[in-house]
Amino acid sequence: MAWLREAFLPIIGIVYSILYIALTVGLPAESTIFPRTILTVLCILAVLIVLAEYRKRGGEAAKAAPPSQAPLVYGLAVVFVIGFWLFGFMAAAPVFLAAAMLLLGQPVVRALAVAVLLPAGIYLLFTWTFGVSL
Amino acid sequence: MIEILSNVDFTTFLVTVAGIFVGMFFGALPGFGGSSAMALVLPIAISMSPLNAMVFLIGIFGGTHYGGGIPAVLVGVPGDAGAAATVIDGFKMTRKGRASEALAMVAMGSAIAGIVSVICFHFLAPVLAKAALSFGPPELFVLVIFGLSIVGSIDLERMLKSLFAGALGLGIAAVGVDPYWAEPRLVFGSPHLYEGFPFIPALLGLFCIAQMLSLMAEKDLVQTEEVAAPTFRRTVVGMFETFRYWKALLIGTISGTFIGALPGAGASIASFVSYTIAKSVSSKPEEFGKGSPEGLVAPESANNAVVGGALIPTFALGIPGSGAAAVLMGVMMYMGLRPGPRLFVEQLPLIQTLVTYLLLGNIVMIVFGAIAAGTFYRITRIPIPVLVPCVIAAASVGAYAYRGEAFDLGVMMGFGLLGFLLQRWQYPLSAVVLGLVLGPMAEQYFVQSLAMSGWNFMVFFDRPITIVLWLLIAGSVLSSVVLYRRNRSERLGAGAGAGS
Repeated sequence: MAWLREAFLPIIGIVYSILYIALTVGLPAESTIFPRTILTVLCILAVLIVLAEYRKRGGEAAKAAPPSQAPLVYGLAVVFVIGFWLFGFMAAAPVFLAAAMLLLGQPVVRALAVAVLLPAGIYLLFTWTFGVSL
Repeated sequence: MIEILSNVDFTTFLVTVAGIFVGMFFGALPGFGGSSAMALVLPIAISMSPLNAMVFLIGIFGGTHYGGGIPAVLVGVPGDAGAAATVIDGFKMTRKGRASEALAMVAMGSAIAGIVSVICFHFLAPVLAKAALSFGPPELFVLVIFGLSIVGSIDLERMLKSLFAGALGLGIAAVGVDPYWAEPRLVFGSPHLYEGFPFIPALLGLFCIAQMLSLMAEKDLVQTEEVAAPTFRRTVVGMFETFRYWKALLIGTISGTFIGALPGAGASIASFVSYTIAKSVSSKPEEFGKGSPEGLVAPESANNAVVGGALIPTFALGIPGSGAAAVLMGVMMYMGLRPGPRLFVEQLPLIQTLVTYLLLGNIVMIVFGAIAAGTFYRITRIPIPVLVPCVIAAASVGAYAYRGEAFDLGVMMGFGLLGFLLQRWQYPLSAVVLGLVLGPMAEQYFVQSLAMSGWNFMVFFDRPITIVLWLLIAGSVLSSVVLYRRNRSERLGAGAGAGS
């Protein structure tokens, strides 16, 4: 159902609100009055969006999403930040850049050149100019 | 004048030039707006002095608005939403073989409008700030609500989604210790979350990672035929020609500055409104939509005048008028500067110096326009499979460099996924950012007001200034609706005209 897909984020909003309110039970009123008010409004808006989507696309079947490489890129990026954390930027970035560009169909020479030059440039900029250790 | 110029520091001037250059670069990339560009350079900005950081970020803010006009003129694809009106007559001028003149008018119109809007900021912001100095917590809370009222007008076609996104931003900002008793909320025992989600990694995720993931659905940034490269001589001649269309320049500058200062009404509305007015007062309205220089100068000057206009409420009241202004305000707060009325009491010399550099920056824009505009459009040819991994790698360094915590990389990726989903289902990201920036302030003033009034909610409604502010909120929302409707009807009219 198309409307169910549109309801995904509103449902996430409602779950977040319930979790927040449940985990802040017992705190003083001053600590919770503002977020609880906002999250109540968030839940109301979420319900209104779901109802509006249902009215608009009630019986409509969900269309298959056009093919996108976004999940592949996001997966690679997650692996990259884990590698960044474990092995450092200079080890993880060239591997990520080369792998991403090759998987996305770029020529080998271009992929390797960017994979070497960009991390080197960033490394020099941050370590020499700004004194940030990568 | 000589005294002002003698105080100019060469390093800060170079930072101004760098900001405009970076802004033009990203502005010329379709889909890469001012907020994304500013988010990407945040780690560099926060390593600078407050003055340099502000000059750098405002330079990028202005540079992206100007840069967005370059692909609009040369290939018919606006670099950002504010340049959509530029396409109508700018691209027609290119098709007539007048690309050099069109680019020159974009540069000169942007620079003149930028200079005038910065002068307006210089004179109007202190007056507004002085009036706001007497505000107490209830007035400040309603003022923040004024800022949040932008959220509903960001995308009037999807108002429910805009409001949901704004409330989500406020809800996310409520993670961390509360401002009254310092009780931790939803931190799961993690000390990293005691001050809430780190702002810079969250911004990088929302604007950079999400934008890159969304770009993966596109094949190329632009698909169009090659155009003849602009020449230096014709560009310089075109710059002088801009002054022949002084009426369009004046209309764009005034409407852009005024609309930019209105919360929520951004560059896209300003450029279409100025296009409409310029057409209605023109002696040759029939040429609009067919390559009229007036039809190019008016929206492009409005597009850039918005920058100075948006700075007025951001600096004087602490209300960011747009997503990019919210990023700027977040950085100022991170650096210990509190935008709002007291800023003009505590940091007046800093603001005055800032104005000097912003004026110089606009002059630099004219020089860039003359010598480099034609080159910038070539960056639209960068293949997406190269651009996306490079931006992700650079953004990761930005998130990590912020405080050297691997936790921040996770925050960036988490917010990146959230931003991607929000964009996919057409929720405005800038509403989330406004909620994130204004949430802690709203909560602080809200609780302070209630505590000082003995939990009497009428404290927000029974003071003269709060009543005036509520009326202004109503007026702002209504004017946004009216401007939106006018903008939509003009866009439809202009589209029909361009198509004929």
